[in-house]
Amino acid sequence: MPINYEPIDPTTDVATTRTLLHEVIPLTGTIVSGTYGTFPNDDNIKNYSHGMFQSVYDYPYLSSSANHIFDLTAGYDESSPLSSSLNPSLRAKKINMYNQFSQVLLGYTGSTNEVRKFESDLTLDGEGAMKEVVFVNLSRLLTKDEIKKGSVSITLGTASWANPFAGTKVFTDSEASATQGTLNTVGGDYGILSSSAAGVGGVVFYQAGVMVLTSSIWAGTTDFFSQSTGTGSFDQQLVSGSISGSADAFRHRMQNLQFNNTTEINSTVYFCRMPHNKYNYSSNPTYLNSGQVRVKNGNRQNPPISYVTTIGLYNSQNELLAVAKLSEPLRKDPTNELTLRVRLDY
Amino acid sequence: MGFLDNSGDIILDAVLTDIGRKRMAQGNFRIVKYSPGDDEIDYSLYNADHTSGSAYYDLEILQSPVMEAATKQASSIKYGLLSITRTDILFMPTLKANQKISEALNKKGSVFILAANRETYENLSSDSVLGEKYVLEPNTKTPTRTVVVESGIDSSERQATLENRNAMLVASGLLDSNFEFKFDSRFVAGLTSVQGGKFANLSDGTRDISMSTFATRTAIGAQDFIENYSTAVAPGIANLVAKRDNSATGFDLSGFEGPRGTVTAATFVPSTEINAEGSSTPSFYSLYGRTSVAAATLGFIGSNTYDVIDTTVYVRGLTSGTQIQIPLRIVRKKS
Repeated sequence: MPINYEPIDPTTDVATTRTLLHEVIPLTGTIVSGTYGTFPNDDNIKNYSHGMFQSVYDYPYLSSSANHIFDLTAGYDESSPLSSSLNPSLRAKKINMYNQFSQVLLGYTGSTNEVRKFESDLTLDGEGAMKEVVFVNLSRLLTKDEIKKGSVSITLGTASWANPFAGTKVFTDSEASATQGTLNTVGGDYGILSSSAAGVGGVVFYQAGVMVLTSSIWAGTTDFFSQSTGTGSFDQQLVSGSISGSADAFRHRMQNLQFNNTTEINSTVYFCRMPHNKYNYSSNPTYLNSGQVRVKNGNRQNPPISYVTTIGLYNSQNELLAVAKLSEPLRKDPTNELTLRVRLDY
Repeated sequence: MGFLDNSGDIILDAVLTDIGRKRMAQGNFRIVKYSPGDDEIDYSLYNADHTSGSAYYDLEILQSPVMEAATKQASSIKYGLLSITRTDILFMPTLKANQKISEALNKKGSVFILAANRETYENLSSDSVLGEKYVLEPNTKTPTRTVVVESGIDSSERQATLENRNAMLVASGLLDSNFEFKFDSRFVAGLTSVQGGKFANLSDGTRDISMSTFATRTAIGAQDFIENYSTAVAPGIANLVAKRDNSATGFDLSGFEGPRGTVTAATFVPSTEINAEGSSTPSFYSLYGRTSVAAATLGFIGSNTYDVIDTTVYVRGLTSGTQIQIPLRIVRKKS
């Protein structure tokens, strides 16, 4: 417990800063299909009895070491032709999934308060609607505060079920940046995932961490899925299959996903200024030898010396709110002044 | 708590303490001051006789590894640096427990003994080995013995004259006018310390000591120190025991050979959790101490058995920052 404190002047000794940290998050397709167990019953894939989505972990999910990395689900808009197909399976749930994402990310529009439809452009003018989609809902553990604009790349297999990566499409949000190429909506900013060869593959919502991928990616793929019940296209899967079945098929075709996340760090820097005439003595019990200040070596004219290892930051009630440690002792004597920058991140 | 990597640039490892996080959750996190510390430094490593010259005097100190910042306040800063503007101070005060005057409690072995209740005190104070000299009386404002703590210069290189006292302690601003007592509130409920009085000697060497009025000191929680500890401040009185001539050195009254500054005397109030009389042992003794300890084991005579809790009282001079630990053994007669 110290007895001498030095005031921190909020006008001259405190500074606040904001820093954005980015990490590269590479997700290879092997981790979502085939690494743990046998596809489609991988140990790192969690299905639910409600059947509305599927969770993907980076390790068998029963292990405490497993981290949730993203959820997969699929759906279509009520106005989609798939909605009026003969004997659609889980029609209501698939519409509900689409509506849930669209109401959260885009909101409602029109006099009848209809949910907006995802579009393959940045206009939200009703043109280019994506009515049949797969949602990749990335965990906050990965995206942190948001996905960095312009950093997303996803590679999807579009060839046959047996050899899906014989043909691939790479979609990126290369048009998006911090200043342009995005549209802000009620769900945050979104950018277009596109490929020069394959056109638009979907959109990505940066703050929400959601990728919306359109069915047109696999428009020419006749065996998008292959199960014991048969094979079929994406639309056939979405009409007659379960949501988790669509998620399984998507995992089978996901070769790579990469993006940079963003962590916003707000910092307060406290400048602890130690003037030349202060903190040169110590109450450390070893400071004295037979009552004498050791470092003076018996000569009162020798300067007092102390060695700083710790800075304590206190409130007005003398409560220690934060503590900072130097990696090595700093010598303090009357011939020098120290300014220690203590940065607290929030 | 590991060591910080000191192989490269100097870095600062900063963390919020538990109380800092609590204040942040409450919305009143506001830092207004700082204080430096040097807990890891062993100043005895300062070698002013190093054969390679002055650049090497503090080489070992500068190489001291520093531990990571801890979030518990008690583990953070124990010894603060002092803002003394004078640079010519060679001697600084320390604290000592006085065992020389007749009012002072003496150590039994390596501990001071506090009777947990009246029954125990009467039993131990009549013990032919112990007597009142070694036992602190509980719950009284007229104690026979007290823990007497002095502040002064622990050196024979400066004589204990009043002139030296003024020059080395009063004028240099190192006189401890108040003493801070920190004690475990589970075992010690409060502090009673001397209020005014006199602590001096006369020119013929006789004592001129009067410490008869005691007052209860308000204790407040000291979570910033050690969990369960409380703090109470005891005012000091001038320690005017001095070398007045060759026959009046004051050595028979004071623990210091050098100039003496201030003194305080205190006794403690055992907590209600441990002060019950009778053969039924309060649970704190089995939780935190020992029960049914034979008298001989404790250095007493007779065939009685006792319940015992050992604790430490920390005393600090509020001007000099110097500290002393008082090992306190709370004893309760069981049978």
